[in-house]
Order: sequence, then structure tokens, then C-alpha cells
Amino acid sequence: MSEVVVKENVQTLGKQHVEHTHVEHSHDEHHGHHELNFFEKYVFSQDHKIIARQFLITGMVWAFIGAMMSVIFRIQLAWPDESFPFLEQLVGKWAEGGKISPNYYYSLITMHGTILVFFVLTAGLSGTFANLLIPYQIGARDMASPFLNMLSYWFFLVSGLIMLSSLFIQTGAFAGGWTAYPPLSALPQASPGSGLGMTLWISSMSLFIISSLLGGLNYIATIINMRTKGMTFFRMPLTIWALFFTAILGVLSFPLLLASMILLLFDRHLGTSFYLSDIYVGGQALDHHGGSPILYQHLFWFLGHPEVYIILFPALGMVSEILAVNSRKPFFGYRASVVALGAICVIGFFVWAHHMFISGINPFIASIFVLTTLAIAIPSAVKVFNFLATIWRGNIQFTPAMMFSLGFVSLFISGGLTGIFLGNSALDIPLHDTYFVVAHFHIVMGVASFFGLFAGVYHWFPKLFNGRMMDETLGKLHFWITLVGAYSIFWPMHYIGLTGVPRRYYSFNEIPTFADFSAFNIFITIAATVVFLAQMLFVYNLVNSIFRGRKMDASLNPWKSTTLEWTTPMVPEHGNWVGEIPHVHRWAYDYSRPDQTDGRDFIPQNEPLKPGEKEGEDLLQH
Amino acid sequence: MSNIILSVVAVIMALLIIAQIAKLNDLGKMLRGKDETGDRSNNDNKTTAMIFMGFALFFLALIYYTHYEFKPKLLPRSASVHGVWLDEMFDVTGYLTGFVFVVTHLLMFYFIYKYKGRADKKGYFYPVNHKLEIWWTVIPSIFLVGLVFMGMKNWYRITGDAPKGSAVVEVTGEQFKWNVRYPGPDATLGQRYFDKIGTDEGKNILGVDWKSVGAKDDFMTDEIHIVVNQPVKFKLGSKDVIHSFFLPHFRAQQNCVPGMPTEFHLTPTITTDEIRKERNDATYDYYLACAAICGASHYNMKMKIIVDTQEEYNIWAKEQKSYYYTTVNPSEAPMVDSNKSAVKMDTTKVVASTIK
Repeated sequence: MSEVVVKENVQTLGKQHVEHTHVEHSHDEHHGHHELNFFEKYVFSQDHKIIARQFLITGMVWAFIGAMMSVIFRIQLAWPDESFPFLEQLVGKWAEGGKISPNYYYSLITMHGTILVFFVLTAGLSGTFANLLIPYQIGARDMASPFLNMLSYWFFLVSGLIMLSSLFIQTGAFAGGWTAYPPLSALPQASPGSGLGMTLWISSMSLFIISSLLGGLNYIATIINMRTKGMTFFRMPLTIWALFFTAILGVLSFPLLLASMILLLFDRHLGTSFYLSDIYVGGQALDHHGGSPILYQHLFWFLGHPEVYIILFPALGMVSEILAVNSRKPFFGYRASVVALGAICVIGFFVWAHHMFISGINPFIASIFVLTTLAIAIPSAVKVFNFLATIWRGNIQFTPAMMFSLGFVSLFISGGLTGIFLGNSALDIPLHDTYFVVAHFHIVMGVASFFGLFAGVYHWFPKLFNGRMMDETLGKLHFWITLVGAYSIFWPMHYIGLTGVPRRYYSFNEIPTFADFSAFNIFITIAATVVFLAQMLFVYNLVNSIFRGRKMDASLNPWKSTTLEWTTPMVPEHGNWVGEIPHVHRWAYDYSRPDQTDGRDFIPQNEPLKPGEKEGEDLLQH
Repeated sequence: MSNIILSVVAVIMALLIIAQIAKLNDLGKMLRGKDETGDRSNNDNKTTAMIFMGFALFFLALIYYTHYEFKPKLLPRSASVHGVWLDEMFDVTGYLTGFVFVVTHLLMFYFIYKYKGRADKKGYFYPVNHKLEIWWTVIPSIFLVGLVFMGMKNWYRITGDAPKGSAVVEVTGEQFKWNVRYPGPDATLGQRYFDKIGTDEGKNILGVDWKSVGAKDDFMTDEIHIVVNQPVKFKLGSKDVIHSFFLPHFRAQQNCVPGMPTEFHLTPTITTDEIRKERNDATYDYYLACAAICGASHYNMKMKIIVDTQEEYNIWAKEQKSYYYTTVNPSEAPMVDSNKSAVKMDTTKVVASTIK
């Protein structure tokens, strides 16, 4: 059977012809070159590297929009009684007299959440790096289905455009929070944003889910089937493991969100009562009986919680890799880390109702979810200890990527620990839906994942953009301002939460107990504005480096890394490797081996073991 | 518009200047002979490690500052029995996680400084230690089991059935106010049906079936009054969208869901007068706030809660008039002479005090 050549012919736009093969001595060469025109190469591309760029740039545009929104609503929170004429110039009727209206405020926070969670940290993060790194690091010429991969991007783009259009309609964008709980999201009578705005929100999300599924199925198929010879599962870098689990989470949970969206659409437009019962709104009793708003919450959070891990895992994986590379040490406890990630992936499906402790669900059900929620803290703790053990006795090289990874570790600890408060149902009673929650998830899921994203961009920029490097000094400046700023924004929010201020408040001034925080709100708003402006440094650095960045040196391996992506040429064609795909002979973490004598402190995965040489993790167990 | 354009231009200029300085810095480094292999120079790593130490100090200062700045603004001690348990639980969880936070951060910053890269050094090849992995899996597990146990104990005490004889107050959320209904002298709330809401020329705001037992003497108020040291059960509901019944001072929260009754019971321990004295603020009040986004005026959906002594409560309750007889159908109000009405009021007192 070994003589049978396994080929997967991939037809790209009917012209380009790439072959993948798993069997040695077969047609490993990359052939079928021809000149692609601009549209084929950069727009309707099926090359995983180009699609990664598309996801990254689209994600960055969304991040800009989403962050801009947060600055606008922070202005309202800091100075609720003052008027800012420039706001009226900016958003017109939504800020008459220079003060944004409550409905617009709620649209902004809703869009901020939706955009950041789905468009930036799901599509922008895992779309970029799954596309870039999976084929590169497992040694494949492209995804299992480059065509579906391309579709995945275009569904994402269209979904985003629909969401964007909802900002410009007369009744305004959806304004019921990114979780879109019915009945608020089902009844246009209850909120103007729940009219056309919500219809567009549902349409956009449905397309987004399709995009996400197309991507996820592709990632799984690619990782399982297209690893190069010698790349066993337990030789895969942790990035690939993390992206693999991310894809599994997405494929198993996103369909539930689609189901919940469709039922919501039925309730809104076809008069069904899945989520609605006994409602009197806008002066009349509605003809809906027997539905339950809690059902929606179950369906939503069955995606919603795995979604948190979908956001976090790519960052965890990249940070693991970057910490090892720049500590010049093997990642500590590679297998334990894989098991920990797997455990988080599995348990992650059984914690969703911890978002619903006070929703009215049965207290007994809630207690089961307390157990699973605190159980998930254990593999998370293992990850943290592994991070710390990895930098212990390293030879730490402070690249911007490494600095962002270290920042990630700090944020992951700070934000993860507050999860232990919230995951315990009894303590959730006074903390639920307060600023404590806002602080918790922004630090652990928002900022931490952003740090993973930045780390990934700084680290793999040469692979994203033709072998060019980003400016380090600017990168470091970007890191310091962002880290200091992020903690300045979110640390005080814990305390605001402890004083009982609920989240999603347009103004704190209405309830006297909460009115004491204007100084802090101003502090937070200034910090948020500074952090937002500091991101412009990143944007400048990114754009400038794409066109004028320094090229990698001749080694083509600027971080002296062991993984396969650094064996490709400076500017790889579609197909990545000229000639044969490299074969893998060792694990991904051979850094600073004591038995290495050639003056380097790393051995790439494609270098064969010398006679008598033991492989990585086994070295310690004599 | 010109303002915006000007500020955007100013920001861009500032960015360009920073970028140029950064570039000069990098060029300078290259000219000074940065390692050919692309290694960061020893100085580079040292500088960054030092800045990390500076960040550690900043972080400490930030924590200290927020901690002490907020201390006087935090909620006062819990005004309910179960709130005290929760405050204790918060403290225990806080000490545990605080310990982990401090230790892991100290280790991280120490490692960053101690193991900063140097050209003449190598990393220490140490890929795994199974014993260590087992230890740091088992030890957190033990503590987490402890926290789960504490949490469950409190959770079941809080969410279990209300003590027998608890007073009953019904709170119904709607955009954007709370409707509060008391069972009145007969201690029985009338039945409600959502499709009766708005009947009686719109005066039947809760959809009460006036023919049901105990409906006509129910009274409605603009404030919630509860009695100190007496358990009270809040029966919660919503007319339109989901609201959340949130009493920060009492560490109490429960969603109000249309079509699904929920409840929360608590025992207040500090009267409004006592807390005013304690805070030295004659206007200090407990508030009910909405904690689940419910529309444009979500942030303004509030109601005062007054914790009375039994005597104060009785006086207040006496002044409350049946909603049905005063608002819905005054013509049906029983004509009573002052003596009879006094007798009637006495029953209020009796009910309120014997309700245990």
C-alpha cells in the first residue's frame, strides 16, 4: 500500500494546480505555476497566506470601529452632563446637542460587544492565524479545501457589511446587548433597535456562523489529513493543538447559535412563541403563550461559553509557542499542556449555564455548573504554571512578541482569578451583571486575547507579509502603553462592580449610591482614549512595515525557531515550499539541548535525529 | 467638523514623529553593530527587563491606589443575613486568589529579570517534570473543592424555600419602572393574568383578577418597605422584557422573567435609620436597581427600599390604601365609620406581627 500515491488535487479557479502528498518519493514538487492576475492573487485568492492577510486586515478595520465606539460611549460615562458638539458632527441625530442618546449608547455597547467578540477576536484572530499557521506548521501546501476557505472569508466580509449597514438605518442598530436576549430582542415595541436593526443583526450573525463553520471544518480536516511525513500529533507545535481545539469547539457549538437565531427570527416574524410568553408591551397583551426566554439563554450560551475559549485558545497556543521560542527553552510540560487544552475544550461545553445563575433556572442545575466551572480552573491553572516554568531559567529574548506574551500571562492570571468569584453561584448573586463582570471578561478574554493577537502579528509578520519585519522600538512602545493603559482601564472596574454598579448603565447619576464615581470614570475614559490612540502606532507600524519593513536576514529564521514555517522561502508562492515538503523528525521544542554541539541553540523539526540522539521530552527520562 | 479634522491631523503628526524617533533608535542600534545573527543585544534585554520592573511597581501602585481610593466608597456591610455569608465567602475567595495572584506575578517578574537574555548564556533544557505537574494540578483542585463546598452551602441556604411565615412582597418589572404590590390586611395576594393588564380603562396595571381571593385589599406603593429581622419573600415577575431585581446593599439579585415567576427571599438586618447614622448621612438610602439590560432607560429603573422597625412598618402599612378601592373602583369602597376602620387597621398589625 505504501506505493499508492495519495494525491489531493486542488483546483483553484480552474487554473492553478497544486498537489499534496503524504508519501515519500512521490510528486512532492510544486508545479503548475502560472502568472495570476491581481484579482486572483489578492482578492479571490485561495492561498491560505493571502486569506490570512484578508482576515487580519478586515479584523483590524473592525477593531478600529469597535474601539472607536468604546471611546465614544466612555465619553458619555465620564462626562454624563456635558455636551460635546463634535459628537453631533460625528454621528448626527444620535447625539443631538452633543450628547449621545440612551438608545444610541445602547446600540454602541451592543455593537462594540458583537464586533469585538465575533468579528475581531473570532474571525480576526483565529481566521488570521489558523489560516496562516496550520498549513505552514504542519507542512501542507494549503488547506484541505482552499475554495471553502475563500468562501469562509467572503461570508465573513458580507456578514460584516450587513452589520455595518445596521448602524445607518433610521431606527438605529440593535441595542439590547451583544447577547441579544429576547423578549427585548424580539419586540420592536420594546426598543427601536429591535426592529430592522435586529433583523440585520440576525442576518449578519447567520452568515458569520456559516463563515465560521466553513473555516472550522477546513481547519480540522487539514490538521487531521495533511500533516507532512513525520508530523505525528504529538510533534505538532502547541499553536496547532490550540487551533485544532478551537476549530472543534466552533464546529460543535456555532450551529446551536444558528438554531437560536432561526427560532428568534420565527418569533419575530412568523408569530411563533419559542421564547415569548405572557407579554404586555406597548399597550397590548401579545398573543404569545408557552415560550421561555430561558430557552434562548441556554441555546445562546451553549455557543457563548465555548466562544470564550474559541477566542482564547489561539492566543494561548501562540503565546505558548512564542514563550518557548524566546525563552530558548522547550515548552515546559508539552503533553500536559495538550491534555490541559483538551480538558478545557471538553469541560468548556458543560459550563454554559454559569451565565444564567440568577436567570431563574433551577438552583440544583446551577450547582452542577458551579462544579464544572471551577473544574475548568484546574487545567487553566496548569497552563499558567507551565508558562511560568517555561520562562524559568530561560535565556529570555525580549522581542515585542515575547513582551506581549508575557503581558498575556499576567492578564490571563488577573482575569482568570476573578472568574473563580463569578463561577461560584452564591458569589455570583451580588456580582452578576455588575462592573466586576465587565472587568473580568475584558481582562481575561478581551485584552488577553488581543495581546495574543499582537504577539502573533509581531512574531509571524515576516510570514504574513513577504519576509518583512516590524519595527521593534515602535512595537515595544505599543506594548507598554497598551499594558499600562489596559490595567488602568479595567482594574478600577472591579471596585466599581463591588460597589454594586450594574453594567450597561448610560449614566451613574440616577441612583445616588452610584453617583460617587465621576473621578474614576474620567480616569478610565482618559486611559481608554490613550490606549486607543496607542493602537494607531501599531496600525502605522503594520502598514509601514508591509511596504517598507526591513527584510529578514539570510537565515530566513529571525527568531531561530524550530517550526516548519521558517523553512519556506522569503516570499513563498502558493504551495509554500519549492520542491519537496520538508519531513519532520523531531518535536517542535528542541531548544538549548545540552547534547547539541554545533553552536546553535535550536534544532529545526526537519533535521533528522543523529544516531543515538533521543527525541525531546524523552531526553529527561533516562 | 474642522475641530475633528484638526485633532485627527494633530494625532497623525504626533504618531509620525514618534515613529521617526523609533526608527532613528533602531537605525542607531544597527549602526552600533547589533549582532549579525539578529540576537537582541544584552543591553536591549536588560533595558526591557528593567522596564518590566518599573511596570511591576506601577501595577502595585495602581492596586494600592484603587484599593484605598475605593475603600470608603464600597458598599457598606451587608444589610441582610445571607449577605454576611456572601461577604465572608468573598473575603475567603479574595485571600486565596489574591495569594495566587501575588505569588504568580512575583515569580513572573523575578524570572523576567533574572533570566533576561544574554549572548553568552543558553536556556536550561528542562522539558517536563511529571511530579511537579501532578502537584500543581492537585493543590489547586483541593482549594477549588473547598470553594465549591462553601459556595454550595451558601447557595442552597439562599435559594432554598423561604422560611415559613415570611412576609410577601410582589415586585413586577416593566419598562421602565417597578410595580410593588403588598397582600394587604388579609396577607393574600390576588391572582394575576397578563391578558387582564390594561383592563378597567387601563387602571388594572398588573392584570389582577379582582374576583380572586384577597385581591381587593392589596395595596401598591412607590417604595418598598420591609421589616428588620423579619424574613421577606419577593415574588418577582415582568410584564414585558427581562429585568433584574438587584439589591446591592442586601447582596440580592434575581431576574424577572415574563411568563415565569421567580422569587428571592432575604432577611434585612440594618434599618434605614441605622445605616444613615452609621454613614453619617441623613439622606442615605437603599435602592433597588435593574441589572439586566431592558431598553433605553435601563439605567434609571430604580426604587427606594426602606427597612423599618416593626413599629414604623405598622404605622406605614396603616396609611396604605387598597389599590382597588382607591383607584380602580372607588364606588365599591366599603363605607365604614371610623370605629370600624380602626378595627380593620388593627388586623393589619396583627397580621404583620403574627405572620411568623
